[in-house]
Amino acid sequence: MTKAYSAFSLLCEGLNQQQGWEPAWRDAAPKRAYDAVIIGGGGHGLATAYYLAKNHKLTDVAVIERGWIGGGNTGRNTTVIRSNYFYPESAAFYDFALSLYEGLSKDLNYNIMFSQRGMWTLAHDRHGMDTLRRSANAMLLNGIDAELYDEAGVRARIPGLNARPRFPIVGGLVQQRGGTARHDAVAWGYARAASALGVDIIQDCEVLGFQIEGGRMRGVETSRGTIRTDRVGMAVAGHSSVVAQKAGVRLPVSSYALQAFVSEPVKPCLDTVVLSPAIGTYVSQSDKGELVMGAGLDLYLSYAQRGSLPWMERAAAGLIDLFPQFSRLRFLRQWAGIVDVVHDSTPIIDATPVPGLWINCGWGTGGFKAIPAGGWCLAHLVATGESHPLARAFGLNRFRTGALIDEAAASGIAH
Amino acid sequence: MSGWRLKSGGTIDRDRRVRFQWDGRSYEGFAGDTLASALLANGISLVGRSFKYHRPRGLFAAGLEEPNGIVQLEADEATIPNLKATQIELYDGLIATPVNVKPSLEFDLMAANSLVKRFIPAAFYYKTFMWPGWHWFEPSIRRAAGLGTAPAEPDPDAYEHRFAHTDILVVGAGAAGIAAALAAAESGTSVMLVEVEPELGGGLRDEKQPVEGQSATAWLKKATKALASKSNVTILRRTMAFGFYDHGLIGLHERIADHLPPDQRHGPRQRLWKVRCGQVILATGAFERPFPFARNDLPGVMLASSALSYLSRYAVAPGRNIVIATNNDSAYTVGLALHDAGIQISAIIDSRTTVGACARDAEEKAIRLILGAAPVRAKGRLRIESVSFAPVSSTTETGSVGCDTLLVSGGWNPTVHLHSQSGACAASAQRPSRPDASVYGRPSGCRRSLGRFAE
Amino acid sequence: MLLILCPYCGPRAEIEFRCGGESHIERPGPYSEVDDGAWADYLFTRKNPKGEHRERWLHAAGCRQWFNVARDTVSHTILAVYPMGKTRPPTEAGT
Repeated sequence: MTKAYSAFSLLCEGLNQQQGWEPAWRDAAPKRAYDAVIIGGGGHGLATAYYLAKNHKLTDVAVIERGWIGGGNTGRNTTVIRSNYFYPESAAFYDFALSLYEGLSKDLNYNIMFSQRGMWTLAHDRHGMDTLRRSANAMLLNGIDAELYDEAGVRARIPGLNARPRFPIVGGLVQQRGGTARHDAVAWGYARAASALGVDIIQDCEVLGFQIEGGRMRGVETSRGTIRTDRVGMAVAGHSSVVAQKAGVRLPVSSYALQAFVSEPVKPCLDTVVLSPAIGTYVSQSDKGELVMGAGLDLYLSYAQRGSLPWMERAAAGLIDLFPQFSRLRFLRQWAGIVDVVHDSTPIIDATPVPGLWINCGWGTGGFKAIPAGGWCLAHLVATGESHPLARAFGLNRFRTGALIDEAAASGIAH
Repeated sequence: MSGWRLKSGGTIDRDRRVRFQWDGRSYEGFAGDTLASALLANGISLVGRSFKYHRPRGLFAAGLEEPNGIVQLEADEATIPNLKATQIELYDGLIATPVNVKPSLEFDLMAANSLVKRFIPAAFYYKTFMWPGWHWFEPSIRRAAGLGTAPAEPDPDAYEHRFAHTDILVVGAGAAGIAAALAAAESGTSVMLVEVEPELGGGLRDEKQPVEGQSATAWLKKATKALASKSNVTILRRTMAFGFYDHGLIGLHERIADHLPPDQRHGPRQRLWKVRCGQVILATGAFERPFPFARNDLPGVMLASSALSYLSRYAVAPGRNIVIATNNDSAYTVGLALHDAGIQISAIIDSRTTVGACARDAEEKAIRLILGAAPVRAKGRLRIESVSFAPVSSTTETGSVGCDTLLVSGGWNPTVHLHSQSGACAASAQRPSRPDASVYGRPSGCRRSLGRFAE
Repeated sequence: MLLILCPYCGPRAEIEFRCGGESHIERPGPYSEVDDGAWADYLFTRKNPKGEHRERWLHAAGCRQWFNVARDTVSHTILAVYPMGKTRPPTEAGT
């Protein structure tokens, strides 16, 4: 076990010239064979490895990552965590993720800075308000906290909102348990905890192909050699189609660039997360002081993790309509992450037609908030071969049966 | 005592005095100053504090690479946080304050963080604050973070958007950029030349070496005039190219009115340009690298090329007793220019053991050379007082020189930001990233860039 | 922001267009012979390639005509523009 993190260990190491720390995780070289290999060293892949080791005592596991851990969408998202979904299947799943997030810092012994500062959705007309009312009712029925406010209630709780916006603020829905977390810390925390349980984390290791023998998974060919294994879990987000293709598996997934930006850091000026679907912008303030903003997808296929201009302009215009005082702040960075969009905006956690290959994908714009549950359920699949009860509705078969969980329409998800 | 204004020189307008306020006190500068040069001329060396330990910080550069002189400009609804003092042109009545200090820049209580720094190493916050819960600690961490303060009132100013199309867009109006724009303009195509500074010239504004047989100043004047006379050339000053997007789209941010006193501002404050270009030429120059050594962030430590900018543009000397630490020839040019302006150069510490012609020039002026050595530690409390050095291969200090200013030059890094953002690899800066881009001047690895463009 | 060559209007900025997704998807049939799997494939499964992609675009804020584009999904370089109903021409990059 690596040295436990605590105020006491900081004190000891302060007196010890910081000589006693060990690397947070072992940067391992690949062995020739593993009981299981997880492709993708983002939040979902690392969480899968951690729960394989912790929940299923499967520790002869490798996580292989083409770049560096947390360098994909885990390091590119806008860190919002919430469970304000409409359908019971989604609500149960995302709320389980949220409840794991609530205890994650202590579980991983790594401060992921989960800050339950509330997640607001604003309505700008009567129909928007009707939609929020419907969402609130669905959330309450699903056992998720929801509070609905009229304009005065919103303004009392979000100081600084524009007094005369172009799109009047009619009301808002808040999930108080929602909030933000330090995204990199989620990847690093899972990596450290998984590594401590014996998982090998292998960076700079690209999947080149699969060894499929007798129709089932027998190994992974990588840029660092062949790794034999009977069980492969895949959590590669925007690159799901590309990697699955190497195993001859086609997926109902399209990859788009999701745009995000941060402002320069300023003193605290926004104490919650504010989303306005109608205006097309959402914003929160990071602990470092940056306004973290997200926008929509560039609606054409893209594997380019580059920022683009149209959404940046639109999101900035939306922000300034909500908070005109932020007009004089300047952007510090912009970037894009490649997200894996499924037609019903509901994830896929299931076996593939290749026995021994399981996938976790289809997160679209909302994978970060699902990391603990996504990892939990993929680990369950890889270890037992059976879908976890929370993920049973998230199968590939739903596209054949028509049992879609259409959160795109139900929750007004951006994609 | 530290920075001071020379009796003559510079491109400032000495007939127009400008009054401004810094940190609640009133000062005077000249038209043509930046806030940074005016502060330096007034002997102010402490302009900010570091983010975590609140260590004292002074001006380190003269342009947009400035890391320390981050200030809050003006107040109330017109306030702007986190501007670089080196990019604020001085106007009458300007008010600026330091950011993230409490109660004052000189006596900052948060500097107490450095007393417990052994207990709060890098990334300490991932290792603690878990019990009883992050929400117990988060508010105070948030208050300590952030730099300046966002305005609390709606923005009183207006802004503009503008589309443009051009055959060729040149980013950076240094020697390479100007030469590129001139050559392109000759062929009759439409050309846009974009410069972040208020004046064209880049390094030529400080250069003493002749260009194409003329003095740099004369060449620049002639070239600027030639560009201005061409109807197919658009020159945008105070304009930052902030993004190189798909299919030759460049985002520009033009500061139209920020340099004027508030009562003379009419029309939009800033303008966003979206320019679709047939060809983009990146002539973005290079940034000087700092040197790593203990306490290299003490006020009084400055990039060598920046000292030359302060001298030649604003007639400001960064100090009275200067030591230079370098690993290349460019800092000698700075040393000799400062020496010629009557400023004492106490020593040049060069990590190389053999140095060419520039060393002879320095020796002729009786400047002490310390070869094969590198700085190890800067000493002083709120300003550097001396620097110790050691042979390059060791860390055992072999000597120390007293100084009030240490100029450093660790070589040059090409400004590859736009090049990289466009999807190219920095290591391949000599090769254009895409069909719509090419790179000239220092980013392509050439120290002197005119010759390359002529190729 | 992409610059798309509308075959009817000339080069225009991306914000004037809507992308209609993958081109040349054939509807399976006859209806009575199409099983659920084939129908699901037709509706939902996409090539989603990292590299050259054939897709349909609509000049929504212009002539409102549809046309086909071959585009690289990494560099976003447009390799070819060709009318609806035409099959894929060889592209410079592809050949």
